[in-house]
Amino acid sequence: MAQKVLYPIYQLGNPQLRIFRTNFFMSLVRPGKEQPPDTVQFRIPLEMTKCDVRNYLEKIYNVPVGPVRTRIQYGTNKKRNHLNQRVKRPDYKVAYVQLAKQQTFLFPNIFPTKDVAHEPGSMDEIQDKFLEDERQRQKPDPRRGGITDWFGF
Amino acid sequence: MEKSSVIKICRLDDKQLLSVAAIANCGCQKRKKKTECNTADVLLTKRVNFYIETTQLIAVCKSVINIILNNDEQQLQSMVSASNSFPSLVEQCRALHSSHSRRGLEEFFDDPKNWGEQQVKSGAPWTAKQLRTKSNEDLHKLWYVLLKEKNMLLTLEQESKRQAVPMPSPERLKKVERSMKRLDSVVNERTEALRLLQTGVQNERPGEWRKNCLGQAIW
Repeated sequence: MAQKVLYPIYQLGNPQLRIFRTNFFMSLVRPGKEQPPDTVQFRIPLEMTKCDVRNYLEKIYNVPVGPVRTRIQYGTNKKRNHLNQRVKRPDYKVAYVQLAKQQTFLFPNIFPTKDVAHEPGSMDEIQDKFLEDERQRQKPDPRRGGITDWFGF
Repeated sequence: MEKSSVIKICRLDDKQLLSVAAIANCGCQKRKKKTECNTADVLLTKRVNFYIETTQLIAVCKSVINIILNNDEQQLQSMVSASNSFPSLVEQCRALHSSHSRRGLEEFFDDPKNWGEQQVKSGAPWTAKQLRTKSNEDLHKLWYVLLKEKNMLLTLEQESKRQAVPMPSPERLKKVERSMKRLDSVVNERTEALRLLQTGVQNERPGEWRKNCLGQAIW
């Protein structure tokens, strides 16, 4: 199905309504609370149902789907802007999808820290060296063996 | 002058080319006409070769697809033995493979090479002019390609907000959204044209112009 589309009214005997080219967009999210290994968490539009989620994943992503549970998360209206007006954060629906066939899913680390080796003589390398020197200066004297500065001597 | 004549010849139909080539064979003395006839000959031979090659290629592709669908080893061996007459085409067809991608939930994430990058390169969005040249099947497939790309970008955006890290290249989202809007407009143009041609009705669903409580005119 699709978002913001006026569905025709169904009367007995009408053919099956089919909407080609869905308007629904799902985003995979990292679970806030610990979830079982076969559960995947999605943020889905408010108009989507459990059946929609199942068909979407099976047909478009070819993922075997087991039970699906959904809930609607209320977005707060408490925050105020610089004009003291209340600002509403949008509501969204969360779907907890359990994978079939004993598959597991672990949310990966999409932002790993990469050691970038800058070319010698470039501005970035000079900056990195400067920051390293500054960090070295902040560290205490290693010859004191970890004792703080409070003690005399 | 010679360039314009060459261009004119290139635009000719096959039948017209044949007539030009026939004039060449009569043996015209003038230099200008000779060059024209030479180019016509060359073009004709090129076109004929191209047609032969494409028909051969189509036939080979059809047989390959039949073999893959029916899992026939005998047919494959017979085709391979027959192919020794034109090995180049078959060797090109061996590079074809029609396997489905079974990637599943990995498609919600970018290529692992791009994880952790500050910027990811991406091309220009689709324009309506480019999309109008595509067939309906192609547009349908492109819609779902764009849909998956947008899902991937939305997951990336949410994860970047969670980790308090800037999202690499957020302009990709805008590009995808614009492409999808243009695709939608092109498809709607086509359906409206079809409906007008077939039925002559202006609106998709029967109704009338009414004013709602806000004073807006709505069908």
